[in-house]
Amino acid sequence: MAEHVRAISLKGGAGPSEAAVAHLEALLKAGTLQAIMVPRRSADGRTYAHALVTAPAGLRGADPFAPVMPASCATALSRLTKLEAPKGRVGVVMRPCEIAAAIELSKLLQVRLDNIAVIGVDCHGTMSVQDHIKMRDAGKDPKDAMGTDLKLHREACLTCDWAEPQHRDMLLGLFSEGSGHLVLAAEDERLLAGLPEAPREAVTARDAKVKEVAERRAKARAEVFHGVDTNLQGSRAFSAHFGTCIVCHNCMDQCPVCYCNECFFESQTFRYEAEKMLRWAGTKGGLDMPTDKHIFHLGRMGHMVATCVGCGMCTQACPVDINVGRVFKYVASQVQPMFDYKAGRSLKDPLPQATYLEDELEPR
Amino acid sequence: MTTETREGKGSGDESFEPVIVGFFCNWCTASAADLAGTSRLQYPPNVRPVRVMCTGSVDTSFVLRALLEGADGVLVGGCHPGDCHYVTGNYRARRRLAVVGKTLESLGLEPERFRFEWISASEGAKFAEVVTEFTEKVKQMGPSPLREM
Repeated sequence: MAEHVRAISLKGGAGPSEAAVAHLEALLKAGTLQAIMVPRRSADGRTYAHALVTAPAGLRGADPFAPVMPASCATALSRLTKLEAPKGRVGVVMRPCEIAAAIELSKLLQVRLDNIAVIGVDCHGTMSVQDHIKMRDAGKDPKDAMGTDLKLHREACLTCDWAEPQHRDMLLGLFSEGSGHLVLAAEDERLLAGLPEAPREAVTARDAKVKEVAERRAKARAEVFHGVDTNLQGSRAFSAHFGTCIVCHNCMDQCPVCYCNECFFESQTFRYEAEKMLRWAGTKGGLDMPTDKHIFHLGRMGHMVATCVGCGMCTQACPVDINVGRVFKYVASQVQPMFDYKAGRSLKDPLPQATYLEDELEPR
Repeated sequence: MTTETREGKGSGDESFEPVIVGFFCNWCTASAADLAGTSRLQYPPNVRPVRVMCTGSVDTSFVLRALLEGADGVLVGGCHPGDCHYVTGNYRARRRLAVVGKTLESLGLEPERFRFEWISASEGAKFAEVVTEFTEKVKQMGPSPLREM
């Protein structure tokens, strides 16, 4: 079934965020959606967090196009649906990378998509929470600043794999904003609440923007990957890259696809008698404390890189400024094609580690 | 690719005896090792064998841990396709361990130090051959720089 494409005119002076929120509010009021999960301004106004909203009043401060992503919505969606699917329909506003993570989590049985309306947004990219807070404190508008300065965008966003949201039940097509319209699309007409047909120029403008964004991101991705391929090679380079790591495991905690209730790397396997550590200290010329920094990063790669969606939440969560995501995204780009797999691409592709072919890989 | 080695023991050093950790399936490669022994086949004594119930139980972190904690090479031996005692363990191991191999390769962490082979219980000769060849190769590569990470 094809999507119906509608639009909200922005010529009355409302911005795309206001227009989108007004539409979400209408869906709540009409009872089309029982609840909506959407990024909402934090209490201090300096950043955003996902909020589950059941009444229009809860949408105050909501912004589907928030320029910052402190946590992945896929994690929030897992929290919401892990035990049971909601009985009424819940609209969940997600960026393309968050949808990709939700697809992986659904296959990992950590997310139930029944009764979930995926409201996919066109995403310009996001800045780091730290930059966002700095900018707010300085009285600047983060969105305006991001529009003119690509340096403010997180690397994961600059190198994003998706130019538009896939697997969506509804689209909030921000990329049409230049035409003075916000394009919305959905197969289910109820989600469009009687909006008028989108003017042709709005659709064309959006298509052009999607294409431009896809090309820009592919180019940036190739550059970053080339950098890893040439500079981040060998044990010394790896140790240096993760040199400041304090083994806090925040990258794992915030990774949307790292779903284990207890991480193997936090298990008793990695608790040792003093004698053992003293012996290692002798053979290794001093033992870095806390121990197991490298096995944590490399081992985590071994466990989840086949489902890594490259959202960069690991980098965002790092308190000591390590670009964790760059390494994971690069390794993912090498590992996933081995299995003809692309994390987030399809609900139907089986998880690489949950299946096999008799005639593949080495040894044969 | 890094070429750093432990002091005084560069690659090609004849006195260097590599440590190789072997994860051998109980139903095939571990028996092949016994067979090689009882058949009096000669092979280098560098492998420290660990018997596992199936290569399907070898987690990616086993291989990485061995390399990071001092092994110069890791050899995993399992049943030929179709012969797994648990039907599909070896196929699953192949997928899982391919991720380790590719991860090491992507980051220039000497993937040649990791090897996965099918060696059945009757292949004592193949066991001796693989161990000889792999030991020789790791010896050529010199001590692993990964232990210093």
